[in-house]
Amino acid sequence: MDSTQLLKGVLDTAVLAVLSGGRTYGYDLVRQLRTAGFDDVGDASVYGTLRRLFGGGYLTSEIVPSEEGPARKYYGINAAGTHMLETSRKTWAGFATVMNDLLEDKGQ
Amino acid sequence: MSITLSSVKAAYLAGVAEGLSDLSDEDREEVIQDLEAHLAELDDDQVVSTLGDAGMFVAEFRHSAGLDEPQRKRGFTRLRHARAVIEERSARVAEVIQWSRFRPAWIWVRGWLLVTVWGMLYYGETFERFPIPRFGGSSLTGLVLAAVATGISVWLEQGRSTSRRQTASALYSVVAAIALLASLLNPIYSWVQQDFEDPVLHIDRLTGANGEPVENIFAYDLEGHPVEVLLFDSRGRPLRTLPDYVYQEAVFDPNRESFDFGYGLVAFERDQFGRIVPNLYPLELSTYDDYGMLVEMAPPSIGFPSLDEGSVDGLVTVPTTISRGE
Repeated sequence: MDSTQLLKGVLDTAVLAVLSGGRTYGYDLVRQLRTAGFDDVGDASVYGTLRRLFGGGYLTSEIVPSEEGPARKYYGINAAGTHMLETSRKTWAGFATVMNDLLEDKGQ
Repeated sequence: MSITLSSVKAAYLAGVAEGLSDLSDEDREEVIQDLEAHLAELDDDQVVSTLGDAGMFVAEFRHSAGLDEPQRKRGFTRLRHARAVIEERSARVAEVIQWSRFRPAWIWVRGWLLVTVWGMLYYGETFERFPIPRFGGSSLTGLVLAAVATGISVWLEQGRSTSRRQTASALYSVVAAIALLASLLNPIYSWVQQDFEDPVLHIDRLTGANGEPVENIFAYDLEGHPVEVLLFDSRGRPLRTLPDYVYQEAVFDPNRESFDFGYGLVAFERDQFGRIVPNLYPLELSTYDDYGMLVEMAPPSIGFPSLDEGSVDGLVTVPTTISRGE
């Protein structure tokens, strides 16, 4: 199965999960997602997701000057984002349980 | 901290900004700010391989951000995409040839080049007084115009951060490059014209066994009757007995307001296509005036026609005395 399609459905949650570990900037966020195993995630998709989540009021942002290059915009998760992440976590857990059970029952 | 982006990255950012031109300035600037910091982490050759080209980035970003393609601009998407691709490719080529090293010199030269070539093409100026540009016969006008054009060139370059001046500067360079190309091609074109359309100009003037120039040729048929003939050499080129140049002692040039000395180009008779008409031999060396009196024509081989009567704008004309049976 093409993981790209699955990724689109969970990218919001994945981004919120990374940011729940601490604020960070776009490039580092992409790197953390890749390290976590999201090899196929597109950089532009991450930035699009950040924009949507920020526009929805789930994130904070702050411009931080950098000694190494242009100023970086650090994103952080706010209370609304944390609430959304918890909701998504429960939804995912239930969904994953159902899928695991289904695959174990029918797949064997 | 002031950051100077490479041309590859700057072109990429410009392509993305163009693709998001329907967003508000604030929204677009936020995206560009993120992307600029992201690009700072990449080498030039990683930009497209990692992010895809600017058009792809914009499409993926829009999809992910939930932005629809703006209706009014949908028709221009391909055009924008093509422009972004061209800019990226151009930037990469510029990197390869290290254009940034030559760019400052080009900025200073292109204004001078425009004026110089404009003068050449429009007023027929030459590089005789290189590097002083001449315009309309005046070096002072040429210098003033070149200074103004160079000033505009530098001014445009200094304002390349704004898209309008960036576009104007690019157009300036394109026009200057075309002018340069035209100036380079002009002598080649002239050479081709002469070599293939005016072969007469490249034929050495006929000389006799003693080295003296042949002034006329008389042909006869088998019965000894004189005939008029067109003569060609072994390569099929028409023969002629007129010199390319004749010495002129003093010719007043109205354009330069001075007298020119030296050799003047002979004005040959030309057909409707501008090609030199080959000599029909024997040349007529005499003719009748308006009163029916036999008068001697200036022998073309002498090369010292009356400058007062035979010069036009400094060009010495020699009667070619061609009879076409009219």
